[in-house]
Amino acid sequence: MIISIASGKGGTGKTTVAVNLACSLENVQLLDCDVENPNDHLFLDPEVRETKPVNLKVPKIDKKCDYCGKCSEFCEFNALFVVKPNPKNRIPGNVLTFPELCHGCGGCSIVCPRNAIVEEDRQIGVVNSAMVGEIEFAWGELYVGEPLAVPVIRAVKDEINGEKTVIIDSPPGTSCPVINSVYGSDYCVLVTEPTPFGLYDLKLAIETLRELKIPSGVVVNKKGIGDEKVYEYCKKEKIEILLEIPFDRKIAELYSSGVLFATQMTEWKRNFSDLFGVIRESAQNA
Amino acid sequence: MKICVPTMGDRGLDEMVSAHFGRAPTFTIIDMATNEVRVLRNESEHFGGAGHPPELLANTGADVLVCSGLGPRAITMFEHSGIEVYVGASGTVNEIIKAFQKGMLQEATNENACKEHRH
Repeated sequence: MIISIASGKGGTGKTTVAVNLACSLENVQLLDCDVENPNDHLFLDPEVRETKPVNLKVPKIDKKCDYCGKCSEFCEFNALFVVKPNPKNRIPGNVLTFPELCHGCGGCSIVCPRNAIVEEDRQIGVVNSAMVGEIEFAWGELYVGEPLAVPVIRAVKDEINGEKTVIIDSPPGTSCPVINSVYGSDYCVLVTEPTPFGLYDLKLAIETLRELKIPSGVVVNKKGIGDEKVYEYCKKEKIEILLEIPFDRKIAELYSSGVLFATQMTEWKRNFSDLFGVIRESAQNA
Repeated sequence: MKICVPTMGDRGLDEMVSAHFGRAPTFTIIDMATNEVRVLRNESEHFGGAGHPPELLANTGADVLVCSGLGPRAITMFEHSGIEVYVGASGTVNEIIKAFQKGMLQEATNENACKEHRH
């Protein structure tokens, strides 16, 4: 079973829920797909077992090129710029490539009539894997300055072990990286805080998941701050509240020193394993 | 010599320069030898079309681009297309041509490119 943890708003507690849930279950795999800002490993202190590069195929132009411009015409992301030869200005033909814009689709090499485009690997990040106690753990890291998170997220998801309960920690928001992280999961837990900000982004996330036809429920974190609007919304939309985590000094202190509160407060280990029971039941009934 | 200015509309020499090069609605091209003025709609990628704006301009035979500012990627493209680029322009096309002729505008370099385009 694959459970993704998403949120809409950032900083609501995705990592808190993902990592505490993982350490409260057996036969579990945790995948950190927030590759632009992975932080599950800060709580698990893993010893890296393997690091795999994540490469993107980018075009390299061969001498055979006659500057016809078909490749740049084809490229949706304008990663190629063809300078046609201009004898008047004494400008020789040239093709500029912008690897940072390239999505690696390979279309340019297919449309090139002269076979003048070869593809070469460009590394944009890594996927690390480790065993932390009983938890099988992998996390992606997109290199600083790289704009494309999705290829790294896909590489993290290639690690999915179908024999385990898989927990996917998604990035915040509702854009491509989130869609790719939650896609294919059996259930999505949306973590929110009971504030107008939390609610606004929760609504966007709920709409996204409904579009993707992924059953979902809500964990309210930092219960006690804000207002009642998240509850009113969930009631009206018939969205299940799976768990509430109070705005609690002890939890915050443990979090800030990188300690999982489910390992220190036994009632929370039980709460998280109960959460898994609720998720499993909801996913089956969906 | 043909000078190109990214502009807000189609009022020719009286048109205002666009503050944003790539998203300028039009490009006004002035042939200094014949005083002919041509207005080209920006049908590049920024307006749902295809291609980079410099590609569009390279095909018009422009020799010089005078604009308010532009990103480093556009500068590179112009450099390779043999089009000189000057930045710091303001006001109408007419005023800009005068400023350019007096040598009051600065040639574009990586240092004076718009930083927000470096992504």
